[in-house]
Amino acid sequence: MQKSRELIRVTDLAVGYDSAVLRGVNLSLCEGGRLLLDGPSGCGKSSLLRALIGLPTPAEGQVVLFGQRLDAASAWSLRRQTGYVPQEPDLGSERVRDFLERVLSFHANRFVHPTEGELSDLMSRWLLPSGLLEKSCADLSGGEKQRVAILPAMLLRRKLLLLDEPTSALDKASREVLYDWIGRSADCSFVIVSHDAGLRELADETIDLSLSSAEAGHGR
Amino acid sequence: MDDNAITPVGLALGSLMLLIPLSILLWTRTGLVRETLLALVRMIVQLLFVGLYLGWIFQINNPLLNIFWLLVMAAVADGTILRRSGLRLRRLAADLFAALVIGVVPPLVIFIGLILSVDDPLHARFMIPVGGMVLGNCLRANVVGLRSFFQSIRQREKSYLYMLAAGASQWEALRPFLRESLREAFSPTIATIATVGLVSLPGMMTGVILAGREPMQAILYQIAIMMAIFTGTAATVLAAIKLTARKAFTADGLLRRDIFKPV
Repeated sequence: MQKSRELIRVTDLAVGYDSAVLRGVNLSLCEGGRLLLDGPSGCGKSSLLRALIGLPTPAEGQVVLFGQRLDAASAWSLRRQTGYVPQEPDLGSERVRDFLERVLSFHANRFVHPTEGELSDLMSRWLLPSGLLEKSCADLSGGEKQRVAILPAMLLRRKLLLLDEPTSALDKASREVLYDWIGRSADCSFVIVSHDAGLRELADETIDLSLSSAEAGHGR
Repeated sequence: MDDNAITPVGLALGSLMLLIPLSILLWTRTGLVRETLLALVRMIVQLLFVGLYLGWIFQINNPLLNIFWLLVMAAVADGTILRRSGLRLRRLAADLFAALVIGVVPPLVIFIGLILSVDDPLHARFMIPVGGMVLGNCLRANVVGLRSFFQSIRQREKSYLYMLAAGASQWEALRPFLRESLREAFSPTIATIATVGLVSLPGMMTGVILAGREPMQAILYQIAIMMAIFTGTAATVLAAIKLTARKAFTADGLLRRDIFKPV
């Protein structure tokens, strides 16, 4: 691969709360790279994704993010450079507008003030009607929630994006928008948990975690 | 000194009124007779015991002993709150104790020092009953507040983690949970404040009237104690959540599972 900055370097990481689900994980991601994590449900894909932003920080093995070792102290600032979209996100019950404003009101995010126009452009890009801003997050469909959950990361221009099953609740048209966004965001890097064939095509590397606790590592 | 003092004989005779509820329980076969008798005996023994040692404390009336007694009441409240909120004593007891003391002292100082403006504010006659009323009323609010706070984070951990991942500081991510649990803890107290006197004559007022004071004096006492209770409730609940949270999360921001009592 071309010589570009390494964003993620995972070495001998164990993932899982009580008993480790995954052990000896090794992987790396360079700037602009797109890494797909695949494997049967319950194999620890989602836990691995969260472990990359220190939720929780590694008890065994290590994660280096943006050249900095991830631990309880560095996790807080490193999370301010990443965008994470969970599977079936829980956005609470406030209005979509209030949800977005809340995320942007965090001290770390206070420099971002999207105009109403930027907001509605972004909404329509994701095929979300602008009237949705006034709706309660609790009333959104699964697919709408998934797309709304991506918006903060885009507004904040996060360069490293971790997406957990991002297509699981999307219809075909919205999936196309997602593919298009990933395909065009050359300055962004992605780690994506998915079985989706379209995403697999976009990825420049796929790691199969079905080997469970075995060495799932490669990716240089 | 008082012609309306209760004598043991009078009370014993009066307890015959319990034949009414007991026969109702017996007659309707609720199966509660044994439990009721036990509860009554417990109540009587506990209160007699309290009467004895309060009599002793009032007699000695040493400021340090009075303060110590207030701390004992706070410690008992501490244990009761944690047990009832399903939280582990060992981890959080010290912080909750500190929160109770921090939250109860200001209303106590204002009630006794400013409103009553007595010469001897550390006198057992003021400190212990007023402190006990404020603490006792904080109990329920703290149970509701702490349980709601930690349980809702556990149940909606995804939402909490999302906010952490989006760059929130610990308290930025916790703010909605804090707001919701304070609302749940305060609203019963606010409802009580709003309806007091309409539904029932509250305890302190009744006490002051029975002691022979004018009803208007009793009302002023009641207003003062309700303000003290609300102040104590608000301060202890906020302090309790803020202080216990320091031990309830890992350094990377995750909720510790071992703060909950195993079900």
